[in-house]
Amino acid sequence: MGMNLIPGIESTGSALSAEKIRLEIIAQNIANSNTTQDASGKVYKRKEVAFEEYVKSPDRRVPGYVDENLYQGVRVTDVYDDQTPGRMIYNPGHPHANEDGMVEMPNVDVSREMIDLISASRAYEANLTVVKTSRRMAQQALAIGK
Amino acid sequence: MNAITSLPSLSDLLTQNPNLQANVMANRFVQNSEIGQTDAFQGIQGQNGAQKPIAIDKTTPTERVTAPGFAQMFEDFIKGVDQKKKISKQETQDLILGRSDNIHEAVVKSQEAGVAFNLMIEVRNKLVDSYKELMRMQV
Repeated sequence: MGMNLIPGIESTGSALSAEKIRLEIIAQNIANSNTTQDASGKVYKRKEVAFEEYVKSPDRRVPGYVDENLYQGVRVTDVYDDQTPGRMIYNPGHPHANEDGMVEMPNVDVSREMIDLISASRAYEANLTVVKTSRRMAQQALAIGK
Repeated sequence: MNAITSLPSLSDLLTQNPNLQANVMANRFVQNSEIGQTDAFQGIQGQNGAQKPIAIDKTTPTERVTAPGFAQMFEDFIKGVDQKKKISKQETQDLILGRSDNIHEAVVKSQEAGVAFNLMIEVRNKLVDSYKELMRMQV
């Protein structure tokens, strides 16, 4: 209900969800780093996520809630294609080769994806640390009476 | 000595003020928690049902406590804690049954429920302590 006992939990929760989606997209990119044809028949394009600040809408507010409890979280608004062209490789025998025998490889750079992976997992970790710390704060406050 | 005897007795006070009645509090608690399903509590509820309309009208409006009262507040609080527990249970269930894939959501909700429950226990301990303190009072 209106109880918000662990500080910042809503924002951190939304950030964890967002980073999870980012990680999923990176996994998708690495998995498709050699995919020359996607569902629409074109070469696979590297995907990226766009985050947006998210303010809890007033209709979800519980009566008696004060404004400071109106949390500002983050959410994924867009998953978009990186439009840079991929490498062209000469391979006439390939089923996805064009008339000149060239095959367009995906524009996924695995080493770059690895860096993004580290960044996503570190961001996730940072948010987990926030959860742990704020939970400990609440528990310590409860221990005042002991 | 006369002054002391003219004071209302504790039981009078309790019957006149519905918010102070221990049984009513227990009754409300029982009605709004899952523990209420046990037979032992239902027994109390049954006995209490008959006693309920106690001479509240004898008191004049100025003497009566009209605020929602502590019992109501505590009841709402317990409802809130229970709600958190239910949300946590739901999230865990969804995760186990594959309806959701947010591990952190389930764990965070269960932590939240845990903290709320601990808070409830602390409040209860404080209440019991103050009751004991009152009982130790010299008459």
